[in-house]
Amino acid sequence: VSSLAPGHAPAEHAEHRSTPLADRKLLMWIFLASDCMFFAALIGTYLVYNGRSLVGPYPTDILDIPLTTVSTFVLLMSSFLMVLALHAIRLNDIPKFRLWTLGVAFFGSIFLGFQVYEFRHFVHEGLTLQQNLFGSTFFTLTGTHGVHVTIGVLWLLSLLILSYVRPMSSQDALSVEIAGLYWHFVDIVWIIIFTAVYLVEFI
Amino acid sequence: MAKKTANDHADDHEAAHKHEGSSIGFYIFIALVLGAITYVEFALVEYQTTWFSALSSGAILFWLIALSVVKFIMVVMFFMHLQQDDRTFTGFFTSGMVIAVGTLFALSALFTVRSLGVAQTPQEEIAKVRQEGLPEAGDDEGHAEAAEGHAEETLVPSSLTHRFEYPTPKVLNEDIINLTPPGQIIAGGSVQDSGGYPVMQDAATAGGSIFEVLRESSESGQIAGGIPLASPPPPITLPDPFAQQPAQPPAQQGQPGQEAVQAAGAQGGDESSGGDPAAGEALFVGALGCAGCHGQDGGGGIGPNLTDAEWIYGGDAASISETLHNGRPGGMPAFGGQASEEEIVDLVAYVQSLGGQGASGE
Repeated sequence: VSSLAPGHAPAEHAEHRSTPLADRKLLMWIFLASDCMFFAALIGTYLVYNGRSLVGPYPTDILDIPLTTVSTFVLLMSSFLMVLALHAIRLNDIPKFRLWTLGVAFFGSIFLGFQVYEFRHFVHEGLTLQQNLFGSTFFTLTGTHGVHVTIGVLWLLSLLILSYVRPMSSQDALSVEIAGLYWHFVDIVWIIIFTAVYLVEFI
Repeated sequence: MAKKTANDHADDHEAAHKHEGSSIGFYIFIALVLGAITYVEFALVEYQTTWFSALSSGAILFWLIALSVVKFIMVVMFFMHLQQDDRTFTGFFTSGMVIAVGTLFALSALFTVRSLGVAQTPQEEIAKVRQEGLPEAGDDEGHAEAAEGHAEETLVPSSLTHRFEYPTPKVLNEDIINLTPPGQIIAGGSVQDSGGYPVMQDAATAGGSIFEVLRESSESGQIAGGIPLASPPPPITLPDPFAQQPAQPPAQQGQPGQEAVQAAGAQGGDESSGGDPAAGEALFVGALGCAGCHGQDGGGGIGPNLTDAEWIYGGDAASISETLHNGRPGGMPAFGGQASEEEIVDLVAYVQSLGGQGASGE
């Protein structure tokens, strides 16, 4: 890895960067960078087709700002718990790590619950993937994000189970950190979606 | 970032190196700030007419974007520890972000992003456009030619429309002038007053600019490139494809409504529906959005051409009504739930008048 950016690393970091563990983290950052572009394409598509639906329901008819604010807050707080979980595993505090990780997965599930409720409500109101441009782009964008959240919840639960299967070492802190990076990324994508899709619609 | 409790970091070498100063207290502080920002964002939208009535729509849009960018950066810097971590990570992530943001900018430059335009439009105009329905601007394909029209213009800031204008054509094609039917030449400079959009069958992408040239040249007696015309041509205006539609065949010009229906009924089916084709036309290009697929003039697009003599599912009133009520395979949606019975009868009348037109015209 050090050959990738020879001039950048301070001397004391070089030893860490040459381990295979750091490679995994670098790969995660590269994946997140590519995922950024993926979501930019979806958000861009949503914005371009925004307001071009020929038949209803239209965004202002059915988007619910208070509800979505709550679910946004839940996701933000899950990010906060993720930081605590990483902090705990770094200190080898396994009980707290389990508590916070369970908290993250729980909050993530609540967010997904909000999304399932929202989707069901929208379909009930007549907005489907095929109904209009708003439906197609909205469900594709938020659905893709929901899949990311689902994967994150499963990932964190698998780390939680791992902590019961075998003793966690400080080596596992990197695994938790990488899962955390993914989780925070899912959170920042939602920060953008919340503004671009929900809030801006009602200005 | 204050160096707060360094407590037990020492037992983990890596953590001690990379994460000194990141204490739980600091994370709580960040989480509280993030929560507060989320509430402010919510309040900006929810209470924009009360608490934030002093802010214009543009200002609210600005603050929403700014606040979400602040949240984004805070999470990346402090929760993802990018700030303390190796710069290689920052480099990769930043280049991804640059491409992502560049994609967004490119898309909003190539297309009209409605929310940017709306933020600069007075509320009452938005309400008006919403009420009257956008489809007049030819929603899906219309933004190229819409640089000329009212509805779209109010939604798009001039800085954006300017970008969509096509370069002024160097040659004024005689055929383009001849597209204007002789009967349609009326008082000069009234292009925008005609209420219609310059829908040109093959030259839709020519947009407003050609007409701009036509109008300029008709007023100044010169073609845009500076070539003088022999004599100032008569003022030219555009055909109004919507207004003339039901009345196009000369035989039907007396009473556009009833006669058109009768002609169509005699040709396409066994009975006329008794609806009002003018009201049907308004629904066709307006509220129901039929024009989005069948074209502004019914000439077809994604959906079939309605002006020819061919009826895929039957041209009599009952068949068309059935089509409208319950839809047809292949994409025709059911409008039974959206349109009232009376509206469907009007639409049937209008659609029949379209079909009769093509058949008797050729």
